[in-house]
Amino acid sequence: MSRFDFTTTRQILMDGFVHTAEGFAKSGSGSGVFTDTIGERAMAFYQDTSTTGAPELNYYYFMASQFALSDRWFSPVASKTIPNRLATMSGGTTEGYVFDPGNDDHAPQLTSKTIFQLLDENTSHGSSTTPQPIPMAARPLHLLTSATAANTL
Amino acid sequence: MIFVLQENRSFDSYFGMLNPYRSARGWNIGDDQRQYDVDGIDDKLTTISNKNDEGTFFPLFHTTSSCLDDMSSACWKALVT
Repeated sequence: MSRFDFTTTRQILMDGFVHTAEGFAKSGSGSGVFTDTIGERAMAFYQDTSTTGAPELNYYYFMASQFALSDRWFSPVASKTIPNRLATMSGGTTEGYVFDPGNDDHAPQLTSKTIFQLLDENTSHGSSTTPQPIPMAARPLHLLTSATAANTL
Repeated sequence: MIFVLQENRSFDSYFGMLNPYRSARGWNIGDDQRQYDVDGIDDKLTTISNKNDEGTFFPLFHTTSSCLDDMSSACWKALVT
């Protein structure tokens, strides 16, 4: 298949991660010194315990098991950090900017409301019939404390 | 409300092995007694690979280092030791 076929019905192979990692290492683009010049690191994954049995992502695995977690992650914008945070926090818009509006475009403060402002504005407070916020942290943090105490995290 | 935002990692790289972790603790069973699994990599460890420019195939593997090249924001080792 052609790698330059961008039609919406094209096959998505998802097989170029090692190629990209190898290219970055061999051209020296990126940060730090590269030790992996064959691109192998692109296939690496983490687990709750390391290969030697030491804690690795044990904290994240525990928390991810207590809260709702989406297993479909996407980047809102095919661009750098700042526009992605803007799109996330605004619920979907960067107001047209594809880079960092402040640093790259010297743009003024954006005017879109954040999802938190919108939530606030559309939630009535003070009524006895208003559902109270659910203390979501209570259960996981309680479990985390007991799991840490019992050394079963 | 707790809002956590992380970047520069795929779901599979971080949480691909959640299924065995959750099932070992019975956390894959919901309050409705139904089983809930994530779309991870525990069932794909021997079937997924990528080829580099020299034609070598690399399968998924559990990294032996917490720091990967060009992944500076992921080096958490210094934070926990």
